[in-house]
Formats: sequence, C-alpha cells, structure tokens
Amino acid sequence: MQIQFEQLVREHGGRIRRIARRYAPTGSVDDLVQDILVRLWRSLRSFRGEARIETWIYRVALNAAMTSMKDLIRERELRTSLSEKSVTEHIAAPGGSEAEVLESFMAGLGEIDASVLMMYLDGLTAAEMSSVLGISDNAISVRINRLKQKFSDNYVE
Amino acid sequence: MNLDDLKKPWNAEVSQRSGMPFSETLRSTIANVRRDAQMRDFWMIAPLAVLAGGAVFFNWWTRDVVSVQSRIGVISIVTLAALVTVVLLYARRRSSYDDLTLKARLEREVDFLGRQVSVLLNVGYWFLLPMFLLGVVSSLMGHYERTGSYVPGLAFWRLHAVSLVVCLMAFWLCRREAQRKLAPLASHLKQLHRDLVSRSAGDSNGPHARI
Repeated sequence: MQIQFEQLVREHGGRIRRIARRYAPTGSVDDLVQDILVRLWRSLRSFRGEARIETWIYRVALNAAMTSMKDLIRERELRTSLSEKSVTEHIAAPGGSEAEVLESFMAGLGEIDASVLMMYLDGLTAAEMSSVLGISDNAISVRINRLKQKFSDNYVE
Repeated sequence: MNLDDLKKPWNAEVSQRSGMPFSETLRSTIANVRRDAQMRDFWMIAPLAVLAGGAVFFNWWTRDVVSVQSRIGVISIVTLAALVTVVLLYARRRSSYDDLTLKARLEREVDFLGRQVSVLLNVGYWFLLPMFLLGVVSSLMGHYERTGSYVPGLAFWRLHAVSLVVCLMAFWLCRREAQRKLAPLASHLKQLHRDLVSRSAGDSNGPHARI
C-alpha cells in the first residue's frame, strides 16, 4: 500500500499541487498539498480502481480544498464573490502565453467553475466530473458551455 | 484561441513528476491528525468520567449509609456525564470518508458545522447551567449533612461566585467560537453548495456512490 501511495504521489504530485495552488490562500499551498496527501492516504483503501485514478484524486483534493477549516474564512474575506467575479479583472496582458491566459482565466472563476475547468482540461468526461461533484452530467455540460462562452467573450478577438 | 487550447499548458503543469516523497513529515502529519482527534475526545470526556467515577466511589460505594440527597447527587452527576458524552460524541460524529462527491461532502460538512454551532450556542443549557446548579445543590447538601443547616456560610457564596464567573466566561467563549468561526464557515460552505446545485438547468442529484 505504501509503495503504491509513493508512486501515486510521484506521478500525480504535479496535479495535486496545481489543484492546491488554485484553492489555497497565498503562502498556504504546501499546507493544502499536505492536507490532500493525508486525505488521499486515508482513503486509499476505499479506492477500488473502478474509476480512473485522476477522478478519485479530484474527489479527494476538491473535498479537501473546499471543506478545509484552515484559512477558509480568511480566504472568504479576500474573495468577495465565489463564482461571479468578472473575468475582465484577470485578463492576461496582451500577447501573454497560453500558460498566462490559463492562469488569469482560472483566477477569475469561482471555486466550482474552476474545478470543472481543471477536470475538463484534464480530459475527464462529463460522467466522471459528475461522479466527483455529485451533480448531473447535464449540469456539467451546461457549465462547460458557459465556461467556453466566458472564455470566448474575454479571450477571443 | 479557444478553451481547448488551454489543455496544452495545463497538461504541461500537471504532468510534472513530483519529487514529493512519502516523507517522515507526512508520516508525522498523519500521526498528529489521529493523535489530535484522540486527545480532543480524551480531554472532553475523561474529566467527566473521573468526576462521575469519583462521585460514585466516594459518595456511594465507600459509605455504609447513603443518604437520599447523596444518591440523588451521584445519580445526577452520572446522568449529566453520560448526557454530555453523548452530546459531544454526536456533535463530533462525521464521515471519515474523504472521497464522497463534493455535493455530498458539502452537505455533510454543513450538517456537522450546524451541530457544532448548536452545541456551542446552547452550551449554557446542556452543560454550564446543570453543572453550576449541581455544584450549588451538592455543596448545600454537604453543608446540611455536616451542620444540619441549609443556610450556607460566606465560603459557599465565594466559591459559587467564582464558579459562576467561570461559567459565564466559558459561555461567552463558546458563543464567540460559534459566531465568529463556525457560523461564517458554515455560511461559506452553504454558499458553495448553492453555487454547485443551483446554477445549472435540469440539475438532478448525481451519483453519491464511492468510486
């Protein structure tokens, strides 16, 4: 079990850190990464391998990120709106790289939309996203279409 | 550029293999999480168990003749200790699964925080007031058994004035914890839950089964 876990951390560490970077308050990314790893370790036994490991990682990581007590209130005060923040506030500088566009677009989304975007970019299907978030495939598709529209409105000339 | 073009930088970021080992730091973090939970339970329940055990032993078990007042006092303390233990354990009851769907997890966390807030806001009714009254009645009974009088002396009033202040401080701290920390957090999670379930047309309950 321990060897499998170490392998998981090695292979998916980048994904875990990226998720943490989106949700953790500045300076607390390492704490959230640690929290996610602890939860992954605790729930490793319940992972039956019936779904892709990425799907399971998203479940655990998003649960950790959004329900962690630590720093959540401070974070809440910093973010005035959860999901309706104007993307225009975060638009990357003209000529910015794809990575910068990704960073700025992600920063302008609320917690739930950001999680959908991450899973979409990671290639999860609507059904897989549905099993992570607990809402219907249809609802996921609606959100993805809205994200595409929002991106198009702000980044496509 | 369209949204799918962001897959390339995203994959570049997440595919970086991590050098994070399952280190001693992580090992100790896991151990600390378990130890903290055990210690919290211990420090909440153990003093009550000792108090109840002491009352049974000294006021009932070791006495040849047990007055009605002592019996009532002991039974009250044991009942209160049992009640408080049940309330605390119920309030702390939560799922140990971290891989529920986000919707299910948010619902559980909101429910858990609601119970915690309720416990803390009502601590005066289920813990502090009964403990204070029990202390007053017990010492009155003790005074009666020693002197045959129900009229207590100055020491009685001093002792219970101090315990009243302690109870009021505990009451204030509990309400402060509930109002400043737990209630805003519950509100935040409720807002996340609303955001998750309400913004998509045709939404229905998704699967909650574990993967």
